[in-house]
Amino acid sequence: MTPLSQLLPGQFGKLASLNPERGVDQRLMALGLLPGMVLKLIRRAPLGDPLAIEFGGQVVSLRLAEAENLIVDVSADCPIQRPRQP
Amino acid sequence: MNLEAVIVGAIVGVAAGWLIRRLLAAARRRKEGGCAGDCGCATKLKPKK
Amino acid sequence: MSTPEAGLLVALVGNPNTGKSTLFNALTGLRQRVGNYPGVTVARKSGTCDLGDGQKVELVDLPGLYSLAAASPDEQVVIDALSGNIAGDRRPDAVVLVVDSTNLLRNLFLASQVAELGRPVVIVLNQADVAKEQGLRIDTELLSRRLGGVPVVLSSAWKGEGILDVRRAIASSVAKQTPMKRVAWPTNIATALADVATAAAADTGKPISEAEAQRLLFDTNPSTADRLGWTLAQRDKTLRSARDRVRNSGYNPMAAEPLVHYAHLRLVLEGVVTEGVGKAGRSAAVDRLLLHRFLGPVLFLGIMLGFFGSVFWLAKFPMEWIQFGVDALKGVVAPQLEAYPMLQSLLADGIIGGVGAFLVFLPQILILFLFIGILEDSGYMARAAFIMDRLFSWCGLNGKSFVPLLSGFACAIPSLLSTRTIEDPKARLATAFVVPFMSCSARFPVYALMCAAFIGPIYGAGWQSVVMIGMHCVGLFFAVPTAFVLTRLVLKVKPQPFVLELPRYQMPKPRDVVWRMWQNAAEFVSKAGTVIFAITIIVWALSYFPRDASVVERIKAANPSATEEVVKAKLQAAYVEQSYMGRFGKAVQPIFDPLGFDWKITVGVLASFPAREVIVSTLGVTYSVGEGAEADSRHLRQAMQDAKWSEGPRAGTPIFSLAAVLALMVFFALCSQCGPTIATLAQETGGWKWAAGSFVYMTALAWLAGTAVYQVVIRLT
Repeated sequence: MTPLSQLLPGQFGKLASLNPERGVDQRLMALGLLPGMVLKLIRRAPLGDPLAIEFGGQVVSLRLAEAENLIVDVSADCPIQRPRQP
Repeated sequence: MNLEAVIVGAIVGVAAGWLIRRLLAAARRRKEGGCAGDCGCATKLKPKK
Repeated sequence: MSTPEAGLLVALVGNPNTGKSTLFNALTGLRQRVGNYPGVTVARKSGTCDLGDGQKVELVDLPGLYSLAAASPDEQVVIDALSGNIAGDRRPDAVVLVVDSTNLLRNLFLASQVAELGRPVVIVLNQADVAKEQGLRIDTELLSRRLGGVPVVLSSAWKGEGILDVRRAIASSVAKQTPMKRVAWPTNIATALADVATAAAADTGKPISEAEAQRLLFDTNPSTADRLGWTLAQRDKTLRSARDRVRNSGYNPMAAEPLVHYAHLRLVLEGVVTEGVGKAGRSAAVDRLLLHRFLGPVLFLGIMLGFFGSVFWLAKFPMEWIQFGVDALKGVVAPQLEAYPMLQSLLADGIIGGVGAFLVFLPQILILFLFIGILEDSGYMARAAFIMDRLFSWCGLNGKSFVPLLSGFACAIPSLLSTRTIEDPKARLATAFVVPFMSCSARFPVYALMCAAFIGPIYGAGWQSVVMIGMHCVGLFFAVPTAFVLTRLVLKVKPQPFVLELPRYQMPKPRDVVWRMWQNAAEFVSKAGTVIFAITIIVWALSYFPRDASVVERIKAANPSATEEVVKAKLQAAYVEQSYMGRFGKAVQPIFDPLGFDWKITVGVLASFPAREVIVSTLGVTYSVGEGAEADSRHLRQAMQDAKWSEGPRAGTPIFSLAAVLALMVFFALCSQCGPTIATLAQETGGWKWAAGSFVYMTALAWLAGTAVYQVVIRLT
């Protein structure tokens, strides 16, 4: 179990938990990022922050500090949900 | 008082009066809580795409 | 606010970047108007849509958003508009959900929430061409059945395809009034919702819709409760027990809504979309380049400098034409009024000159809006915010503030208008407040004049460039701590969740971009223009009156042998000295004495309030060179170089010492919000409080900085 902020670029993972009380997480859930969802850390911004993550066929920018609270299971078998990228 | 002075005076007077009215109207509007979610500012937005 | 011919009201909703506005334009054929929502400050964009058979409806384009759980006041407007809670607008007769065909699941989340409102729904699967390219096949019939029989149509608004189908679907929806199938809430949640509804209704005496109950239960922000007048004391207990009930059934109440909707949507979408062979999207590949660790920022800088630099040189010719036109008009009007010098001056110098100085901004504004529109519609704006966010987050802003601040280097006015892309009102205010620090192009002539007259000849071209660049940095130097203090301490901007979608790259549709540019510019000209017009007239009056015949006598007596031209120039200077503005300048000069300004410079600074470039021509007048002085005028430079203090402790020394020159430039760098900028700032912040505050703050800062520079440098030289 790793915080999303510590993933390496290109790494996949399955969302294990988030913190629904926070505004950020609520927005992510509205976008479809729910526990069990496969996501991928695409890259970090050139200045290191924020992160670009992909899930459910969309790419979303997320700050490092906010990504710390998203716990991801990197060892889980992660089938790529959509072979197609946006 | 020649006509010229009157015309010029009228134009300047209208300009000044209009500005003052606008200022007062804006102050009044704000006092009546014209801003939703008051945070000291109210900004016009175009709907996002 | 329905027009007589359009009795029916249809709302357009959808996620951002779904081509909703393009569809809106296609449906209304640009028969649009922008109005106001009373009590709220989001623009109401509506238009007339012809459904065929002569039936017309009023179409309202609501702001794009991802969820009805509003994150900002403008998102709140959406649910208010859909529920019919906006004064002056009734409930829409139908709701058109614009969906990105390539991502049905996420887009339908909003649809599923909207379904709870019970209105007739039309689902428009837009960007169908992209979906087809990606090899996706969507079974619209199946989807329609699963959603309760609502019309589901494919369209590609960009290509203009499917628009007829959309019109027909709207007509059908309005006629049949078919609502969209709603989600089935688990029993405990349904009970919790019912409890909330009953309690709220009892406490507030108002009927509570199911959708409202959901917002009350699921939202952390109290905007719905506040609107209903359901106080914290009243609702605390009810919400607590309702949320506990939800928790006991295994759902975190703050996650229940998305969990339930998405589970439902997965079932709805089963078998609806088949993925075949198709081209992979190019956006990922483009991003590998544009967001690359090293190339990314380089390209970004290039694009930004390119775009905004070209605002300068692209606007240059139109600006010269407008100036030419203005001068020509002056040349035509002035001779007609030779007999009435006062009126002549008012019309020629005051009105035509003043309005002209403002209209000259217009090309820059149009081009800036055009470029911003292109950046936004193409999807690159999100990448720009992504790259720059780090630099902005530590002072409470986010990457979205970057473009407005950068464009402030061209002209503050369109830059202020472009702060509208920032959602959070406080962040927007902070950004707008900081914009005037960006050294706008109007200051350029002043720097150029000063450097060419005093830096170059004495210290060389190298130093001239250094000082020019340095002056542009002065603004930045103060902007940063100002932004920090403003966002952290004064406004206490909540660190906003910076969750930003990086949408698929798309080609901006020229007609849409141009149309939006035009609308923005028209609004600007009509609103700010009227204020500037009035201010210019006032300034003219102050610079003109009083005019005494005795002045003419005096000048003639003092210059018996001078040519008529020289006499005229000296006369003009004397008139300015005599005027209220001149007298005010002389009276105020002691305040500026620590910066080394004489009264002529002071008057120049004061008189250039309507447009900062004016200081050059004002200096031209007061140094008796005549009004036609330009920044590269040798006469003016000579006159300034020769100017010496005639009295006081500095008598005999040059007025334009290095210290005074630097002080003047620093003062100008920090205190150049011209009248139009203040007016726009007032307009964008909805009042004069912040605009006045900006003026006072920056003037004080400019004074302190100018004084510091003068006092230090004069002792070193």
